[in-house]
Amino acid sequence: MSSHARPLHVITLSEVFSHLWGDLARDAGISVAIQPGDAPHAPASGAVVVIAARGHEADLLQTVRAQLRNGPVAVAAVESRHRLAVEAMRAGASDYFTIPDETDGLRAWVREESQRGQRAAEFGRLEAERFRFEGILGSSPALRAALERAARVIPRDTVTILLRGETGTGKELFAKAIHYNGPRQARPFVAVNCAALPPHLLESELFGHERGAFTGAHATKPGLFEVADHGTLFLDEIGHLDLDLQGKLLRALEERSVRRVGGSHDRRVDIRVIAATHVDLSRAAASGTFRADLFYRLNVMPIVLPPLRDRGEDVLHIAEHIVASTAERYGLAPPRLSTRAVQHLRTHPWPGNVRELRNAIERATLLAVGPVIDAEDLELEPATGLPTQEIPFPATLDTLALAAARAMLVRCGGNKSDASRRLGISRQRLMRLLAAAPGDGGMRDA
Amino acid sequence: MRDPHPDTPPVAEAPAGTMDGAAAATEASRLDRLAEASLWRELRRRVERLDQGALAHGSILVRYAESLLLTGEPGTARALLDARLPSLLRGGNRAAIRRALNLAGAAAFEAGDLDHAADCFERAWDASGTDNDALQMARAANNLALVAAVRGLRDQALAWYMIALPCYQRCGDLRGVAETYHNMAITHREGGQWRLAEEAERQALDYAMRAGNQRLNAFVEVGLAEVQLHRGDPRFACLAAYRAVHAFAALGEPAFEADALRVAALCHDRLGETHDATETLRRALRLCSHAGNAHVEADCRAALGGMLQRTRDTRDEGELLLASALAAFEVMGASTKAASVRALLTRHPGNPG
Repeated sequence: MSSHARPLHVITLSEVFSHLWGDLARDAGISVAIQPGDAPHAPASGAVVVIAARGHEADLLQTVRAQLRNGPVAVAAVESRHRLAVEAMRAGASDYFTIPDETDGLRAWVREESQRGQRAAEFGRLEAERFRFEGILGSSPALRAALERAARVIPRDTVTILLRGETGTGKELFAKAIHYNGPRQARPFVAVNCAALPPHLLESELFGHERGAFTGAHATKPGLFEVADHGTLFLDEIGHLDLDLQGKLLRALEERSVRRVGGSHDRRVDIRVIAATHVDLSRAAASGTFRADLFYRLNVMPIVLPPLRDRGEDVLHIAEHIVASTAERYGLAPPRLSTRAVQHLRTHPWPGNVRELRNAIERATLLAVGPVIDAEDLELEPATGLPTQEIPFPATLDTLALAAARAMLVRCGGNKSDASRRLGISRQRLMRLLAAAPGDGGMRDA
Repeated sequence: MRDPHPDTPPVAEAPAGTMDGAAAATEASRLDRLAEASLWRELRRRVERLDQGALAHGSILVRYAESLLLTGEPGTARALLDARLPSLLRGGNRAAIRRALNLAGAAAFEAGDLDHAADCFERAWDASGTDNDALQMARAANNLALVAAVRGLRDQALAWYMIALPCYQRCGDLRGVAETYHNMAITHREGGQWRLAEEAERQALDYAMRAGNQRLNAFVEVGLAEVQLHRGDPRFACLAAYRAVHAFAALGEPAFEADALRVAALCHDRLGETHDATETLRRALRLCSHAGNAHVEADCRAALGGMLQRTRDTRDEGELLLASALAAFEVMGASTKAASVRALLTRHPGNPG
């Protein structure tokens, strides 16, 4: 019997099937607890519940559902009347089985649900292992400071956290580490990218909607606040949130309840909110593009994730880790980084942070022709220290073009294709522009 | 390459004759084990050896329909579900009903009937929400997202994916999480959000590897190849695409093998290897026209048509292929893809638009 398997919890007003419950549990390889239906107590969290109550199923279901909001609950009854089945389903049953005709169906249901519980527990355990803090590579003081700050706030699981950092610094990884190392680890981690959806759709995603609430609302849909109940809601790119929606988010955070679009009542939610942004929200609040009250509400525990260029030798540790994991994944002998490659890794400004590093190293590992990754294999951008976003004026046309290209590259997190598309030039032209910059050649192979 | 089916379970011979409830439950549990090991051909053969009466049992019916879908017989799956769904709905096996609705939608989707697919998935979503079945909710949400994505409603697609992810998490379904991230990546890609696409694809790869699922790994390889190709790295992308081709060939999934070949062909084209590119696409087309996957076939036609259209000698053939791809995309309601094919066709005056 697995220690992670969900137990079977039977609430019954009948002795008729007493032999059956033990049989079902044995078959599923789980333990069973049988209790009389006249004084039901809360089933263990994650239990597979069967109610057999001779016509009183709906009342018992309401009691059980109040205690066990999302767990699997089935009704087992002698009668196969359609009306009873519908009532049970309306009251929150997951399934309805007629005994003895559908005993095998009930057996399969118990087995399937207990296994599902086992998989869910295993999933949480694996995620906790994967996102443990010790697994975040690096020992630079800047990273350590962020980790220590996060470690302090983990046990206080209602405290809102604001993660700040450039694109590619691992904000979602950090958020997951906070969730999966904390008391809510067995509950959902729900991530939403506020920049990925238009405001009207984001509102209905966050708060849910009732069927028919607007054109296209063909089905009732719970919001992500509800889905994340008892877990963590990660609001990425919070700086892109529309002003109107900022007000609604503030209300939800303060009242800890949400109302679906088109709905008539509020629903309580118990969640930890982790917000993340690469934007300076205090400046945005000062300029009126972000609500100051929401900023203060989110900024209870700010944590700044350092850019890779400020993390000293971390870049080498991470690079070596990526070489090893890529080689392992594709069954290759791990190549070693040459001295010149190491020098390049140390001096490159990494505008795309860990994301840029990962792409460069993976590519070099897979395309390496020998046992060594050399500087050229990294195919790093020609770099002149930190690219500036300032456009010089007055200046020659070439200088202006170069400055615009560099500024766009920074805005696009080092992604050359994205930058060239936004600039309206080919990627090759962008590469030529950057390569022709005075002083750039010295960085490639110093 | 590793054995694609490392966990082949021992399964007893299929029983003959009519089947009572107990025998059906036992059989269903055997089929579940085959499904968990992705042994879809084996599963299909096993059910086909059973008495026809076995398909009256909802759990056997849905597993069989699923095996048909996954072994390149979506038309047969659709006919089977259309014929059996009414009696299943009249019966009380709600678990089978929820699964059958999702499968009926998937069969309609593969045939390009998006309206019927969306209707089935919405019914599956409602039934699963009512019954609090997180797994079928996740599948319905994922499927509704796919329909929205094909219709070019990318925001709606992303919204459905966002809700599918925590539903899969709730069931501890690594494969589902990986699939959703991969689908999300496709939507980001189609919206030109390449950074988000790459991140989603990497999440997909991570979960697929942990799930030990070769099939998903192969899907993700195709996705990453597309991202790498966009990043201007066709050499790197080509490696990933061919890894996926071999994986799908080993899994016996010709439609997806064809899709991976399509991406490999795009890499050849970008590398200036035009002959390799067109030959690879012709091979892909032969594969997917047998497999009966309307979407992949239309994608391959569009890609080959676009390449052939560029050369005077092959322009006519290219335009015919583009026109057929356009017709297919329009029938399927795949508006974004239809628009890009139409743009290729209208480059040259006098062509059908």
